Amino acid sequence: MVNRILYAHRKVLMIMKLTFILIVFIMFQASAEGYAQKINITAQNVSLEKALKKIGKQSGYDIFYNSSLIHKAKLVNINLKDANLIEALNQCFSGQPFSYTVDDKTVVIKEKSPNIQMALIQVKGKVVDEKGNPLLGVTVKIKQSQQAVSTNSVGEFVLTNVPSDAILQFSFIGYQTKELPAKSNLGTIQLELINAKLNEVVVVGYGTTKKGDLTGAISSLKPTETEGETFTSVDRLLQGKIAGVDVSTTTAQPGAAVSVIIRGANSLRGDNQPLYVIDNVPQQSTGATQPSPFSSSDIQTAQDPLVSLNPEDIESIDVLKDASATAIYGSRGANGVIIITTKKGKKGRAKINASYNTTVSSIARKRDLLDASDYAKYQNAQNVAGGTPVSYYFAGNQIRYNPVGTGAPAYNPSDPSTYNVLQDIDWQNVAYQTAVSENAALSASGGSDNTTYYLSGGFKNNQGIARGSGLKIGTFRATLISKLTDRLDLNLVMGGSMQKNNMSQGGDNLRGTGNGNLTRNALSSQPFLLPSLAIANDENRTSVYSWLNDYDDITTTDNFNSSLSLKYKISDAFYYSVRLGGVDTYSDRARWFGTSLFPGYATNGNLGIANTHNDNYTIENILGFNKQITPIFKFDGILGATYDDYNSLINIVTGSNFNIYSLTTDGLALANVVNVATPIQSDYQIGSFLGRGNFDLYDGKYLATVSFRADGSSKFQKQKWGYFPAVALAWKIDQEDFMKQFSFVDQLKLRVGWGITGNQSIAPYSTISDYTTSNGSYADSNGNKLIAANTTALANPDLKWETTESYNLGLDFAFLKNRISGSIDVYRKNTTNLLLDKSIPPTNGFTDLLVNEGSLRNQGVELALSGDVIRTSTVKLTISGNIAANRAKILSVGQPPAQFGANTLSAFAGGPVGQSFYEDNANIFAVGYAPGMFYGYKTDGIIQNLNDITYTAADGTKKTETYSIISGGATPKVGDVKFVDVNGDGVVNANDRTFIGNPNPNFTYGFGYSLSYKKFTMSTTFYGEAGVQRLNANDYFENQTIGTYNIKQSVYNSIWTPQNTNTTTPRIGASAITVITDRVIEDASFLRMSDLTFSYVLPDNFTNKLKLGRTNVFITGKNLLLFTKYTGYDPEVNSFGFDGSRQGIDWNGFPNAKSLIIGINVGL
Amino acid sequence: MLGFKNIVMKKILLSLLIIGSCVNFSCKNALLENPVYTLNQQTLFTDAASAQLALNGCYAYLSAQGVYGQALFMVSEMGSGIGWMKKTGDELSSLNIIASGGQGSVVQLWDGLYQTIAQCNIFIDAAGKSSLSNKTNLIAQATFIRALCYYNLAFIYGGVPLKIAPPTPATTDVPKSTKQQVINQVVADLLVAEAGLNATESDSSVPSKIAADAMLAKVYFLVASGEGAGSASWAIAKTYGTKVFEALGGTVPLESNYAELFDVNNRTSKESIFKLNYSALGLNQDFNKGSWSFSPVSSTLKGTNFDNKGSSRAFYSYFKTQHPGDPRIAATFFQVNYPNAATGATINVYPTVTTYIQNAYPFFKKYYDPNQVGQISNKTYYVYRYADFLLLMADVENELGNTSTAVTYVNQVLTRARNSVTPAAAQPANVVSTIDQADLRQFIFDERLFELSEEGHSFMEARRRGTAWLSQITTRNNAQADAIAGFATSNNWTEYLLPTLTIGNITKAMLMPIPPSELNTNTALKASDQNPGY
Repeated sequence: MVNRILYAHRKVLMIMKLTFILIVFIMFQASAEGYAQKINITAQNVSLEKALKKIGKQSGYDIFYNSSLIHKAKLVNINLKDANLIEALNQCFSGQPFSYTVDDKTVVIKEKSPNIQMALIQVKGKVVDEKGNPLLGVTVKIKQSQQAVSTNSVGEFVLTNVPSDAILQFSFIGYQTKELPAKSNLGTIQLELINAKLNEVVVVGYGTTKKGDLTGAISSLKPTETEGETFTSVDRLLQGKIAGVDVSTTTAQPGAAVSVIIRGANSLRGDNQPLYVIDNVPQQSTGATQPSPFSSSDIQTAQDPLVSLNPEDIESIDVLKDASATAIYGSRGANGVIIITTKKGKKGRAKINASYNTTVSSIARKRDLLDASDYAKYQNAQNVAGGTPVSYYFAGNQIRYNPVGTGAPAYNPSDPSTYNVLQDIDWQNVAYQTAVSENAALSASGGSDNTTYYLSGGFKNNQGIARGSGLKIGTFRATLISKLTDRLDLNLVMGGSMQKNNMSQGGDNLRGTGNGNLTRNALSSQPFLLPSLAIANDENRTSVYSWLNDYDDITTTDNFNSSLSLKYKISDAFYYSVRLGGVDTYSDRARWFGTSLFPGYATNGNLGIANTHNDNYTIENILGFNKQITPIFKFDGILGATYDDYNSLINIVTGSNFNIYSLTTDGLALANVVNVATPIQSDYQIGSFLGRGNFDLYDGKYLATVSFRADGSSKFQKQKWGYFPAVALAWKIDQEDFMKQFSFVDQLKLRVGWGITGNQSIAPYSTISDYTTSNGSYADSNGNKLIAANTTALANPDLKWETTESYNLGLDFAFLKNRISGSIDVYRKNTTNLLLDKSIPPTNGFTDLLVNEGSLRNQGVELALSGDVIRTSTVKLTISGNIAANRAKILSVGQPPAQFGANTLSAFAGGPVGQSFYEDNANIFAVGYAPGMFYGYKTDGIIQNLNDITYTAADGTKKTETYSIISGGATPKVGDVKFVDVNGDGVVNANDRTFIGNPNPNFTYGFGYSLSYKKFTMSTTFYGEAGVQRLNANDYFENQTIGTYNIKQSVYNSIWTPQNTNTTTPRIGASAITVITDRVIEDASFLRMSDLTFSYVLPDNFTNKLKLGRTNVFITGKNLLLFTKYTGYDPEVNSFGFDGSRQGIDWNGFPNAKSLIIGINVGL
Repeated sequence: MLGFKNIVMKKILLSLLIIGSCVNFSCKNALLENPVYTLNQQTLFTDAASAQLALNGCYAYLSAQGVYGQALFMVSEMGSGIGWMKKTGDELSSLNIIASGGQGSVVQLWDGLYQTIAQCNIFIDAAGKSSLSNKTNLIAQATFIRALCYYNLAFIYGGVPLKIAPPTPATTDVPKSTKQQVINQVVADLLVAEAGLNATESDSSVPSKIAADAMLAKVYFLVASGEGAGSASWAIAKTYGTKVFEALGGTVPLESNYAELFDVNNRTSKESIFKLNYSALGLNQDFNKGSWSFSPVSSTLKGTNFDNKGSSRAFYSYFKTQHPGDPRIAATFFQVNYPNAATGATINVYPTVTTYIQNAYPFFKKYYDPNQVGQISNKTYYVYRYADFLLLMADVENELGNTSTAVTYVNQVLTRARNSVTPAAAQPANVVSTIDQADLRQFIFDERLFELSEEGHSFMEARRRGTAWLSQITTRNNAQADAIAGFATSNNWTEYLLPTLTIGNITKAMLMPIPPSELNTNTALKASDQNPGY
C-alpha cells in the first residue's frame, strides 16, 4: 500500500515536473523575443550601413533605410560593450545627417527634416541628488528624440548634436523627472526625490488611485522576494503586517484554511472572511463550507483555496478596511476586501528570475507528558484509591503489565506468561517528524513599448510535520498586457495550479471517543503499545500507528483561472472597459478510515469521496470618465454593471463494509455498501450596478469620493436588492499655506468616511424548503433499502441583507522628508439585521433557523507607523509597526432576557464543545458583552477541608455545599476541585454559571525592522495578541487525575494529597469535570517572532563573471521564538475557526512548526 | 468631426453597457434560485410513488438512532432501574439521580422524537393539500407514527410542548402542555389512524387498524396503571383491547419459540403488532444499534462491542429466582460465559465473574446480531408485540375483577415461554386460577419486566404504578450484598446503590428531564416547567 501511494505521488510529481519544464521552455521562447540583446561591436571607420547591419543582427531589430540615402553617411567609429539599442544607435548617428525612430521592433532611418534649421550644440552639466551628491546613471534625453546619454560616476554628462531649442529631460529612478531647455552649460542640476510612497498606485476596486489621494482606509503590502518565496499562501503572508487584520490558523497543517478577520467579526455566524479579488476577479469565500462525507460529528479540516496562487507572483496586496472603500463591493464588502494584484512585465529586456529554497521544519513546542514509568505509577495509584488490584509492576528497570479483570492469571513475577514487559514510547515523536520541503520557481518578464508579459511557474513540495502529511503544488501564471491600438488596451491573465494535499490530522473532534485524531492520540495514548490482551474495546484499539497507517485524507485539486479585459479609450475623458474573468476548480477529496479507527471500525472500513466542482465567473462593464474640468477641479468616475455567477456542486459517495482494505482511498469498488448522497448544489448570482465619483479640488488638496452600489442576490427571495452608498472626504492639510512654516511635515491628510455594506454569505436556498434523500432511509421487510425523502431545514423566506454601517476617521502623516510616516484610524461599525443561525427549540424538529436578528458593534483604533531611521547610501534601517484594538459588543440578539446561569441575560449560547467530554456550550452571545464570551463555572482551587464549602441554609444552619455537576460528585470530598457557588444556594449547578473569559484580544500588534548594510539585509517580523483568552479543551484529558489517558507531567507532579495541599490539581481519582470551568480558560496572549531573514546580494563582479543578473541568497527562520503562558501547542489554534458559534477553542489543536529556510534567487 | 465621432462612440458604448448588463442579468431568472438536485413539495406530492418517499422519511426518522434505532432503548433500559451502565458521563442507570439530562441519550431521544414529529407534521399537511387518491391512508400512517412519538414523550418526559402543525419561523416556541393534554393528543391521533388505516396489513411494519386499537389499549392501560385500581381507564383499555381480540378472531398469535422471536432471520413474525424494518444498506443513521449498544465485547466477528452496558445483577438474579430454568433467561442474557467470536475462547461474565471489573454483569442478548458489522445491525425491532398486549390485557382484566380471564392471558405467555425448548421447561409455571387480585397484580408487574426487558418498555413498566412500585426495584437492587455506593469510588465498574424512597430522589426518577437545549431556547417555557428534581 505504501508503495502504491509512493507511486501515485511520484506520478503527480512527474506531471508537475513536466509542467514545470514546459513552462520554463515557454518562458525562454518568450524571452528570446523580448527586448534587445546586449550589443558588442568594436569597429573603426566602417560604413554606417555595415554598422547598422551588425546592430540589427545583435539586437534582433529590423532596421529600415533608404540605401541611396545611407550613402551620404559618414564613416563611423564604434566601441560598444553590453550596450543597448539606443546607445548603439546614438553612437552611429552622432554627427550624421540622419535621425531614426524605433517602433515595434523596427528602426526606421530618415534624413533629418530640412525644416530643422536649428544649430546643433553640445550640452554639458552635472547632476546631483537632493543632498548635492553626484548621481551616477541619470538618463539625460532630448525630449521627443531618442538621443540620450547617462551621467558618469561624478554625475557629469556631455550630449552632442543637441538642437539649440531642444528640451532636455533628466530622469532617474526614485527622483522626479526634470526638464530644462538646452544650453551649452547647464551647470549643476539638482534632482528631487519622488515621494515614492505617495505616488504608489493603490488598487481601490474597479480602478486605481495614487496612495496620496486615497480617501478610505486602505493598507497596502508589497511582499518582498523572500516573503513571496517563504509563504505558502497569501493569507498567511498578511499575518501581523497590517493593523486591524487578524489572521489565525484553524490548524497549522500545510494547505489548511486560514481565517482572516478585518476589524472584528461583523457577523455572528461562521463566515466573516473578507472578499478576495485576484486580478479583478472576485473569488469564492475562503470560509465556504466544505462538507464532510461522514456523519455530522465528523470534522473535516477545511482547505485553503488561496493556496493555488503562488505568493511569488504577487505584486501587491491592498486591504480595503472601511466601508467608504469597500462599499463599491456592496454586498460582499462588509468583511473588508483584499485585492491581490499579480506581477506584470515591465518594458525592457527579458528579466528572468529563478528561485529555489528548502525548508526544514520541526515541531515548535511539545507537551511534557508522562513516560511509561510515571504512567504506570499513576494508574496504580488510581487503582489503589479505587480499591481495585493494580496492573503494573516494577522489576528492576522493567515495567510489567498484568491485565486485571480479563480473566487472565494473576501476576506472578517468576512466570513471564502472566505479564507483558512494556516499552516506553513517546507518541509525539512517532506522530511528528522533521519535515523537509522545497520550493522552486522561475519567472520571466519583459516587454516592448506596446506589450509586456510576465510568465511564471512554480513548484512546491511541502512536507508537514505530522508524518505523512504534505502539500505538493505546481502553479503557473501568465500575464500579457498589450496596447492593441492607440485606443484599445488588452490585459490577459491566466493562471492555474495542480495540487495534491495529504492531511493526516483526521477528523473526529466531537466523536464520543478520545481518539478523534492524530494529535489526540499522540497526547492521550498510554506511553507504550498496549498488549493485545488488554484491548477490550475499540477505544483502546486506536493508536498513533492507526492514524499513520489506517487514515488517509488525500485531495487533488486542479485550478484554472483567467481574466481578460479590454479597455477602450473613447476620448481623452472617457473610456469603456469590459472584463471577463473566471475561476474553475475541480477538487477530489477522498478520506479513508481503516478498521483500527473508530469510524472505520464502526462500519468495517469507511471511505468518503467528495468531488467538488466550483466555478465562478464575472462580467464587468465599466464606463469611466476622467477630466480636469476647471483648473481647480478634476473629476473622475465610473459607472458600471457587473454580474457574478458562482456555482458549486459537491458529489459525495461513501463506501463501507469492506472485505479488502488495501486500496484505501481508491477502493470504492471494494465496498459492499455504497451510498450516493443527494449532490450538494450551491449556486448563486449577484447582479450589480455601481458608480463612483472622485472629486479633486485645488490639485488634490480637497478630495471626495462618492460611491454607490446596488446588488441583487439570488439568495434572497423577497428582498433581493440591497443598496450600498458611501462617502469619503479627504483634506491634505500639508498643502495649505499655513502649513508651509512646518517644513518638516511632508504629508498630513485627514480622511473621514461613511458607508453601508452588506453581507449575504449564507448558503443558497436558505429561503426554500426542499427534500433530500441523504439523511435517511428505510427498509422493507426483506431488508432492502427504501429511499426516503426528508425535509432537512426550516426555511425562512423572509431573509434579507445583513447590513453594516460604518464610520472611519483617519489621519495619514509623513514627517522629516518622509522618514517617519504612518496613519491612524478610528472606526465604528454597526451591524444590524444580523444573519444568524438562531437555536430554536428542538421541538421544531430542527435545531436552528437562519434569521435576521440582533445587532453588533465593533469599534476600534488602528495605528501604523513606519520609520526610515537610517538612510545613507550604505546603511538603511527601516522600522515599522502596527497596533490595533477592536472592541466588539453585542447590542441585541432578538431574545428576551432569560436566566443564563447566575445572570439574567438577553443571549444565546454557542455550539457544543464536545459531546461526551464537555457537556456544555463554552461560548455565550449576550447583549452588552463581546461575542463568544466564555461562560461556565468558577473554581477556587482545591477543597482542603469540607468546612471550606459550607453555606448558611434558610433555617440558619451551616451545611455543606453539594455539587450536582461533576460525575458522582454530589457530595464533594477533600481534594476535589472547589467550585464557586455563585448564587449561594448551597448547590453548585447550572445556575452558577457565569462569565469566565473572553476570546477576543484586547489588541493585536506587529512590528519589524529591515536593516541593510551594503549587500546584506537582515529583517525580522514580530506579531502578537494581548489580553486574549483561549479555552484549552485538551485539559479534559491532560489535566485529569482519573482514567487511562496520559496526563501532563506537571499535573502528575502536583496531585493533591493530604501532604501536598498547596496545589490546584485535585486528588487522584477525582471525577472528570465535564462542564466548562475557568480551569480550562487560559491566557493566550503571545508575542511571536514569525520571521527572521538574512539575505545577501552577491557582488556584481562575481555575478557578471557567471553571466548572471542580480542574485541573492537568504536564510530565514520562521516561528523561532514564541513568548506565551499558554500551555497548549500554540496560542493561535482556533479549532472551529469558521464556526462563529464556537470561538477561541483549542480542541486537539495541531502543533505549529518552526522552520529554517535556505534559498537562492538568481537573475538570469 | 472628432467631437461628433466621440459623441457617436459614447452613445454606442453606453448602449453596449446597457445591453451587456441586460444580457448578463436583466432577465429576472438570472437572480432566481433553482436547486435541481433536490425534491420539493410540488414534485413530491404529485403521485403516490413519490409521496411514499416522504412517508418513508417519517419511518426513517422513527427507526433512526434518535428514536427506536438507539436512543429509546438506551433511555428505556438503562434508565429503568433494571439496567447497568459503566460509570462514564451519562449515568442513566443511576436512575437519573445524577444524570443531569444535559447530554446523551435523553437529549438524543427528545430530539429524535420531535424530528420524527416534524416530518410527520410536514407530511400530514402536504399530503392533506394534495389530490392523491390514497392520501387518507398515507396520512393515517403518518398520524400513527406521530402518536407513537407523543406516547413515548408523555410517559418518559411527562408534559411536553405539543407540535401538531408543520414548523414555521413564526411558531418556533410552543409552551408545555400537561401530560394529560399530550395523552389526549395521542388518543386523538390514534383514532384518526384507526379510521384511516387498513384493517390488516401483509407486513406489520405498516400499521393496521389492529395496531391502532392495540396502541389505544396500551395508552389507557398506562394511564390506568398510574391512576390505580379505581381508574375509569381500565374499562376504556378493555374496549380497545376487545376490538383487537375481535379483529384477530379471538386467537392472539404468538411465536412458538421465544428465542426465535429475536432470530436475525425472523423478519416477519406473526407476533408483531408493529415493527420496524432495518437494512444493512441504509447506513445513514438508520440501522439498528441494539447489537452495538448491548452485546458484550468480542461477541461479534466484525462488530464493535463493549462491556459497558448490561442488566443489573439484581434484576437478573430476581428473574432467575422467580423462574429458575426459564428459557427466556437464556434468550435474554449473555450469562456465565460466552465464546469470543474470533478466537472461540471463553469469556466469563456474571455470575462467573463477581468482582467489580469488566464483564461483571450479565449482558443483554435480544438484539445481539452475530452478523453485526461495526455498529450496524439490520435486526427487526418490535415496537409492540402480542405477548405485551396479552400481559397488559391481563392486568386490565385483573383490575376489572376478571381475574380468571387475566390468568388465561398470562398463562398463554408463560406456556409459550416454557415450550420454547424441547423438552419443555418447568418454568415459568402457569399461574394458578385461584390467585388473588393483589398477587396477580404483582405477578403481572414482574412478568412484564421479564418478558419485555431490553425491548424499549422497561422505563415505563418500572414506573407505571408509581413510586411505591418503583421502589421495589431500587430496594431489590440495594439488597444485593455487594451493591456499593458506586459514585463514591473511582472504580467505574461498580453497581450503583440506587436511591431509596425519599421524595426528592424518587420523584426525580419518575420522569426524564426536559433537555437544557429546549429550556434554553424555548421562550414559551418557564424554568418551573422543568420536571421535578432537576
